Amino acid sequence: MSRAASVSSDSRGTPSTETVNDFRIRKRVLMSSPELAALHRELVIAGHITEAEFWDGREHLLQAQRAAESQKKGKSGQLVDPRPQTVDGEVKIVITPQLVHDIFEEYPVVAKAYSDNVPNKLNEAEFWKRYFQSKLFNAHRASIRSSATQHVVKDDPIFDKYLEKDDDELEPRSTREERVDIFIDLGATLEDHGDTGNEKDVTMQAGKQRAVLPLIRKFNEHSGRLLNTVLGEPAAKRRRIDAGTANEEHYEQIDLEDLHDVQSSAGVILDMQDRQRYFEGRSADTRQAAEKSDVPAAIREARDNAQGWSSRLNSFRLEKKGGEAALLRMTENVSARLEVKQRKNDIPEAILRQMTTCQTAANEFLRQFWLAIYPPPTEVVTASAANSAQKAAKAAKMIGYLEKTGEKVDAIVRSAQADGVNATKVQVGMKPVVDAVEKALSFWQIRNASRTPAVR
Amino acid sequence: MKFNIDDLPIIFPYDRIYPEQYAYMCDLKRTLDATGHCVLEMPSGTGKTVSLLSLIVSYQQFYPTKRKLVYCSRTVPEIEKALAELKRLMEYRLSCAETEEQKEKERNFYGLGLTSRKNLCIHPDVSKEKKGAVVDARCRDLTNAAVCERGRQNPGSVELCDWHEELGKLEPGNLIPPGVWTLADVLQYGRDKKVCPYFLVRRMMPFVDIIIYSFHYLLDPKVAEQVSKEMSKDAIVVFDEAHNIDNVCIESLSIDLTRPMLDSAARSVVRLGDSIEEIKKTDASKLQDEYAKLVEGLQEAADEEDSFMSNPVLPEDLLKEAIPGNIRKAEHFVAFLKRFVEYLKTRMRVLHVVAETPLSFLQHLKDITYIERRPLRFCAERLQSLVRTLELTRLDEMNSLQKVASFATLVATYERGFLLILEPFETDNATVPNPIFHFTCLDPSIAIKPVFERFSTVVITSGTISPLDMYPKMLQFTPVVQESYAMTLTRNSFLPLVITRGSDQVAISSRFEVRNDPAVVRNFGSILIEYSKIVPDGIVAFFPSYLYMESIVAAWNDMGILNEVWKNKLIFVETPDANETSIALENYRRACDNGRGAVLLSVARGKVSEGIDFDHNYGRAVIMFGVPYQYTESRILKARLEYLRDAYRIRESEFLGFDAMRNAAQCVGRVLRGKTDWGLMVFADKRFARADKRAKLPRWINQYITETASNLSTDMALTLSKLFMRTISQNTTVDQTGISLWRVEDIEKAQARQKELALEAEQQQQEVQQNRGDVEMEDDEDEYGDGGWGDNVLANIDLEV
Repeated sequence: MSRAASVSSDSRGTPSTETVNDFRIRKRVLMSSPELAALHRELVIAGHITEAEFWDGREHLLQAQRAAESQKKGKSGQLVDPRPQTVDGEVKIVITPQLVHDIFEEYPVVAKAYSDNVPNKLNEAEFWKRYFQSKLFNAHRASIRSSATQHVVKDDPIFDKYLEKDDDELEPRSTREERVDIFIDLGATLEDHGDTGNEKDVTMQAGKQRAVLPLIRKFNEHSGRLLNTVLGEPAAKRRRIDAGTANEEHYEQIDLEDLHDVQSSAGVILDMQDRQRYFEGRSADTRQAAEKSDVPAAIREARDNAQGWSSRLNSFRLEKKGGEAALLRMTENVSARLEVKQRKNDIPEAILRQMTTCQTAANEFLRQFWLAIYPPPTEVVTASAANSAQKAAKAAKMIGYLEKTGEKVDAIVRSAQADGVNATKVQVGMKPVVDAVEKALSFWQIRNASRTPAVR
Repeated sequence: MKFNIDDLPIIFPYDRIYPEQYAYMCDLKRTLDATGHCVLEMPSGTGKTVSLLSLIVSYQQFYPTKRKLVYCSRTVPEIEKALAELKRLMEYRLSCAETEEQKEKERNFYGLGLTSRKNLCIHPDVSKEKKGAVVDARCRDLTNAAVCERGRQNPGSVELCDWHEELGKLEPGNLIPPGVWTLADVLQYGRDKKVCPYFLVRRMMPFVDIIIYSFHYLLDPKVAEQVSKEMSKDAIVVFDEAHNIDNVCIESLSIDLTRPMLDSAARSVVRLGDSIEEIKKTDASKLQDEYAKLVEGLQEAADEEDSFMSNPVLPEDLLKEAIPGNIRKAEHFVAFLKRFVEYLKTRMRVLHVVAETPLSFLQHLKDITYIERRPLRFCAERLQSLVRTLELTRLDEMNSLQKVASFATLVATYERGFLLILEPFETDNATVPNPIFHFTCLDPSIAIKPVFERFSTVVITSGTISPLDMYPKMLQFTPVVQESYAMTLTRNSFLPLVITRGSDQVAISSRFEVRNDPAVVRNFGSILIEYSKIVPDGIVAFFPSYLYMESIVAAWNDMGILNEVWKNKLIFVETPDANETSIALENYRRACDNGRGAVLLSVARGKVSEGIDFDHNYGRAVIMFGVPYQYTESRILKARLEYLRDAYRIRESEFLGFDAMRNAAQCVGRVLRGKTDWGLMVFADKRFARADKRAKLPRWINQYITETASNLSTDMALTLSKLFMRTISQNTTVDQTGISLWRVEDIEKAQARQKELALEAEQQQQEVQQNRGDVEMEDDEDEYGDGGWGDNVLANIDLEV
């Protein structure tokens, strides 16, 4: 069964400038993820990096958000049935633009009345007021009771013109010319033979309650219209399909699928990018391995190895020293973990927060740095991808930030000491970041050192 | 797959087969061999049609006798489905054929379907007509023998149908290449070759191996006389979906007359008189010829194809004698008709209900008008002859007079099993008279008797035909095989639930006294709301009558119940108009395919409940609101019940219960096709909880109603339903092969085992006979001859997989 295409195709490929620039979507993304928002505040609003830089490499978030938003919510199935509400003690019908739109869509005749009379004969407010008091409105209300109230409703020279005769004959007023698929064609059965027999008893005569017929017709029409807004008109071509496909379709409908032999389905082929690179290296290996391995031989070998395993188990002896050492190490490990667990939460909240912020910021700078250093993934040619000069500048800027990381960490350590917290603990905590930053710095130095002579 | 049943090689167009299909085919073959009749009930959706066709085609192609198959179904969609099934079967057989000779044999197989002119017409003007009767009349005007002759002698003088003319130029018996042609195919062929599809099928009927049409073409004497007269005696007749066959039988011999019809008939009589006067002036010899023929008692050798009406009585009841003297002269006959119509009109003025037998009616008629029974009996025949002599056109306008003539002939022919009921008012509280004169047939066996007598094998089959012994009793025949098959399932693919009360514990029922009780209406509504929340895709709801559905739809709308349903699904409702309902159905299917989901509200015994499938996503749940009893206040039904009691000892309550349950089962059974399909079957009425009601459901449904599920409140039913849907959505881990799906090996194993059992039984029997001398042994297995499968044999089969 077909599912509605959830992602419009244009947003799937390359992210357009529009996406990246779309402020609203970025805001949504930030709002939905507090961590990202905090980072954004820290870096962009504080002016460390630009907005574009921040989003560089995060395009997928924006795309996802955009796709989610472009998925339209289906129209509600409910009938348009404006009912009076009590507002400030008064009973009235509140008219919203949405309601107007719905009414026009559901009852084109109202739209016609509107365009005929507003603003020449009636003003907007008057139009609606009179409409809701007219027979026309009562005819449109999805209720059988309303027809009973009809005689109470005043005549209205303007709206009564648009009043249509109730569609309550056994045959509908409007008929469609084309036939439906013969498998569901009830009319064909009706005309298959002359009418015979006695009349049906009174309970089995359809349409005896004529007042309900307009209601029933309205349900069917409303449902059909809702479908048409989503799926479009039932394609005329489907009715005029050539005999071949009609047969296929009919065969499919009468088929008992479980009586066929199980056919291993081909499955959906995973559309992978850069497939060659991915598979060839490994397949080459396996091919070699396959060539070498001789299955019977391997089995034989395995069996030989396994033979007499029980007797060999007896002769197995543990090295005393090694065993003790291993045990000792395991014990140490356990106690160390216990210690860590016990001392877990003794860093004050403020320090911890500082550490976290410092770390995420440093990570972000590192990310930006490496992003600038390495060539972008071949496929994703981002519109915002800067040229190499810009990139170099960006990398340099990031290095500038990164260089300060050390100082920051030191500052945190100092403030920790001031609070009487074990400074080494903070240092240990921050060590991975510091290491990573140092790595980046040294890489930068080496690169610059090696490049400088080459440039000169 | 290919396998043998006894010595008959069967080609079955699938790789596997359900055990019940195999058992069905075995029993069918037994019936064919014994040239007797049978009643077979096979679970809905287990491929009844394909098994039936597969066996019969194998039979036809293997034995040199080439018995023709007359396959009758209820509705045009079902006819088309059977044709498509046959077409696919033949394609499969062709691909299986090994030698060129066999291939040729498969290629030369003819299969066609017949329906009305209205459905098969491709004439640009005539086919645009909305009413079938008008299409028939206009078609006759363009194609009857007299017009054709004139047109051919003097081209351009009269309008002829080009498509009919083109067809006439072809060699008879070779109007269409051999093969299986669905109705759509024939229409397309007609358009391509510019030949008339309707007459093509009619004229090909003596040459085809399989003809598929609706029940009426065999049961209604008015149609059968024209269409099915030439079928050979050894033909195999199948009534598929035959659970309502008794109603078709009764309908084909019943007639209603209303006051507007009598008025129109009176006008037609005047028109006849005018035409006679006119023809006397222009061509008096025609009338004299006719008179002469009638005096000699010559049945006019009519070209059946364009006979405007045929006799409404069964062939054996026709009097093969000359038309009585007092209506031989055209003017006399017109005066006779006039008098009869006037008499009927006077009868209609009576303001109280009258029920009388045909004999009493005839007596009264004779007392008042001196019309005798004998001329009355020839009324239909005489009218036909006169109309042909006068060469009248637009005969649809004579429709009412034709009905009056049929009425006259029927009432004068049958004494027993019929009743005349005059109802001056439509309902009990009506004040304005709207009289209807019902001539009603009470005995279904009358119409079907010639079929049983004429054809050696009649197969009556359906998914829901329980209790089986009811049909032989009602239709007065003796079956050689009578069988109902259980459904073998490795996991329960459907869940029948009986909801007896709402979540508020108020009992729900469509019983007349409580059905409009707000609490009941609300509880019915909340069942629909809750199921629309939890069931994916399509839900079909059935009501016991149109009247109830229409009032409940209005009530639900005012109570805001439908607004809740709109939130979850779209709503479609069956309307009085068939084409409008078809469009609603089409949209319903689109909504199910799209995933939006929809609810279809319709009526048991209504248009939708017959012949439309709701398999897979088109129906994940069926809700039966109330028990679909017939309207017991109906006088016709009362008369029928009385007759059944007196003539066949079928109690009223027994028949009503049987009738309600077969229709409920029919509605509910339409959700399944195949064993991987699944669906919920909700019976919402406290009366379904009664064991005697449920016992009337087909065995394959009844066996899956658990004790817990037979008396639930709405909330409990919902919990069970949710659980069921969660379980059924899991992947099946059990391999069904060998249990509910058989391969060829499994069939062979079963056959070997059956042989063993048979041998054992034989030995035992011999021993018993030796021991007890000539004491007769009672074995109900032997009742239907041997070679078949008893229940216990089937049950004892255990296969190693």
